[in-house]
Amino acid sequence: MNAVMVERSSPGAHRSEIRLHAAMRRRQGYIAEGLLVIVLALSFGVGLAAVHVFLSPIIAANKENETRGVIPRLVPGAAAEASERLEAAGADGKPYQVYRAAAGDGSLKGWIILAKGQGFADEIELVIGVDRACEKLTGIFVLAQKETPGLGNYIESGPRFTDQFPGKPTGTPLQVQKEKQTLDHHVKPVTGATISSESVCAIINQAMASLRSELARRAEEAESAP
Amino acid sequence: MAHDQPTALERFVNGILPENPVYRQLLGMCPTLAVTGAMKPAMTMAGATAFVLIMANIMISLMRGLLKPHLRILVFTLTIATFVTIADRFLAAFMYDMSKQLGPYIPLIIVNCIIISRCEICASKQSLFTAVSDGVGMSMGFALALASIATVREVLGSGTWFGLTLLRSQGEGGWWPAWGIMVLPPGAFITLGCLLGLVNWIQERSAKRQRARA
Repeated sequence: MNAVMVERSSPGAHRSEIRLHAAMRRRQGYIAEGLLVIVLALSFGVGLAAVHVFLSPIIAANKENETRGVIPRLVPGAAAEASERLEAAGADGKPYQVYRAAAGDGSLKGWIILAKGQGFADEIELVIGVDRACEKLTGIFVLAQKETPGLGNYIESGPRFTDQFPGKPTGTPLQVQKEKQTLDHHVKPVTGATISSESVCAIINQAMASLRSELARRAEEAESAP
Repeated sequence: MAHDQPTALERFVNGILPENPVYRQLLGMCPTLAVTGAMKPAMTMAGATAFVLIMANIMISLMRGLLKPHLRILVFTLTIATFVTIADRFLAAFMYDMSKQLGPYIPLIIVNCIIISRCEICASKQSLFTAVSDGVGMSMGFALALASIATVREVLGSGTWFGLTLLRSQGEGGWWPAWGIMVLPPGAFITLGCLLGLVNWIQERSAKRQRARA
């Protein structure tokens, strides 16, 4: 079609026509080159979305199983089967997944809260155990993390980090303290992974700030109920 | 150009031993050192890498006519990242324990040089069949290398192989003093170094023998 156009035009316009033609071809080249990447990105995106839709319920069920498995470890006296899952709206309006951790006879032993937030590399997902009135932590468990292997991943696999949380107060925000942990709310970070350690504390602090009063109220209700 | 490239069969055979990605090319050292403490994670890693490598080779070979020199690395990375994400989600859904144990090492397959080097060397230049046989050969070579290191480390370090007890360790009332260091990172370096030396020594000896025969 372009060739026909060039033929029809007058000889004087011929040269500029060719130049225009070359520029158009070049521009088309750019678009064609970019097109491959754009089309690939879009189709891979659709493919990944399909995989996600198909697999995410199974992954969620796996996580739920694991969370239930750690309930007895995080809330002393609670049984995994007797505990029930419920939704609780935080003070900031964000919905949290909460488990009512109960003993075999159904009596309330404490609460399990699922919380997540940004870590150093990727999102960190925590399972937090608190006592009945939500005054003290009874334990934490790292459900998912992708922190640096050999440094940040010790928030999960280094027992000395998670072991310090039982007994910590929920009223004062936890604080990472490298040298001496003199106060109750001081947390000893993992060596070489200050950011990961601070992220864990920040996730706990946020969850506590928004859920503390709500859980305490529910515990009181349960107590006053016959 | 095509006639001086190795054939599909050569690609396949080369991947296993003559051009073994770990022992001959020294590529993919991160998973080689990090997940070979026991057979099970090592074989899961080898399987995930094989899936990504073969699928990436297929995709790149299919669109090799459309690739532009300055955009090829971008396309390689895009393709590899997609299949790594699929492998990661798949493991999280069906092999949850393994997925937790391997943690960030599965997403790190994206930066495994073996895969991008195969895309660059073979898949972006050769036919689909050659690319697939190259991917299968290289995956087998990688699995073989991981298995050899993991076998040494698991047997010496815990007295087990694939979780089966071979040498009863002292902790379980047996006689074998499980060498804990073999399961820890130093054991990975020691094992890799020794096996690499062994492979080089065998190579040297067979080369000498061939020279003597000639």
